[in-house]
Amino acid sequence: MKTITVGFKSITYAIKIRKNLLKSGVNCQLIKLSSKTGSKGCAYGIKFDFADYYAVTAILKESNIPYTFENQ
Amino acid sequence: MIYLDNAATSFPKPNEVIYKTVDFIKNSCGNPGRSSHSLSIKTSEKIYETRENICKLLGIKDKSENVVFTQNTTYALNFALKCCIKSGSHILISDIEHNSVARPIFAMKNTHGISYDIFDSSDVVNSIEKLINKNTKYIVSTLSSNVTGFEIPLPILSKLAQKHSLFLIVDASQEIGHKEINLKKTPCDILCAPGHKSLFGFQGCGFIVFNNTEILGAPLIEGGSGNESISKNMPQHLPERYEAGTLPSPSIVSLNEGINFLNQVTISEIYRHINKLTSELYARFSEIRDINLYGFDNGILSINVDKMDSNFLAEKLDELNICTRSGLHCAPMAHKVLGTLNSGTLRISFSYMNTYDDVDKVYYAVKSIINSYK
Repeated sequence: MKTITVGFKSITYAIKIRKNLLKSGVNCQLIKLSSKTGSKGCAYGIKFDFADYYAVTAILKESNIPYTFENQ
Repeated sequence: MIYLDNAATSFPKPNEVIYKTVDFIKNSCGNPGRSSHSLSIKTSEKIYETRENICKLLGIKDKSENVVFTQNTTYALNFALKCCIKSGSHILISDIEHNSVARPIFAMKNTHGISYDIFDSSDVVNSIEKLINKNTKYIVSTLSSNVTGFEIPLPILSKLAQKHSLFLIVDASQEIGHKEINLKKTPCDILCAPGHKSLFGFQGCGFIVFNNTEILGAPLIEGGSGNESISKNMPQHLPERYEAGTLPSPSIVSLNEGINFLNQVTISEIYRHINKLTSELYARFSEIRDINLYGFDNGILSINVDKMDSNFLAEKLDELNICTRSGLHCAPMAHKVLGTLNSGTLRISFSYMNTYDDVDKVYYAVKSIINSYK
């Protein structure tokens, strides 16, 4: 199954979005980003199924929290 | 032992706070926001849950990231004042402030070039409006005196701040957990509070709630934040902007459990209980001619006995295994208002864990000390 990772500058933001996604029925995992990403491994992200892309981006837009899509 | 020093720190803590915090320490206590292993993630989630719980307690939603943890309210107030107050500003503070507000403000006169005036807590509206000048930018005030419990109502402060476009920074140390504070209905810009008093958490945790992020200034402390390590600067975003180093996770988790306990009992029931105990004791003390009373609220009551040092009275009570606090309570400004700057007072402060039996025992103890030593 193809997955997508969204990165956040703060673990607080990552947990906040994860909670909102779980409330909306989107299954996702909180992970530490790899050192190959721009954050050099000092950031956290949410990994989710590609099938949930539109649901996730809608929640991200509503949240007003900065994020980036990551190659993990 | 009878513990009547809850304005200093609450004791005992509810059993569920202790058990759940010990369980956390035994099974889940990693360093939050640092690693990818399950302990670090679990702890991070617990910390986030506490931020959410604080927001719910204060009637605000969706601002969990605006809750910043510190080691106590003194640090919270120092951060709030020294990071967020602009140099050269004019500030209004109340005449009953604790040293955790007073001392930073006095110091900032030299370090930040601020000026300040002191408003009359017994005539807030008129006093503040007379003192406002063209440079006034901030009101900094306690919501309740730690010496007498006397309240400066947040709705009044909030309305004044909004009317005059001033920032409002409040010290909620003695108010939070005793009375409802709703930052949506009666906003302030910053609220500082401890975890270890009426919220029943362990010592080692206080917090700042930034209800308004326009007020943010540069961090006071730089260090590891667990993210953006490559940057030479602290992160710009809350809460990590002001949270350098490892957080006191066990204390924060205990605070979360304390708030859960409060929510089960309800704040209105807690206030009803402590108010009944304090008013009962106040009524009984008022029948003893030798006792001077200084008002009461929020479970706090201060007294003096004629021709008896308040420290002596506290010592004698301690010999009877009754814990109180005497002296100036780190609040010389409040004592100046009371006229007790030279004597101090004996402060008795109740929590939800106290009983009517405690009221009886302290009443008879004070009575017998007066009879024995006068």
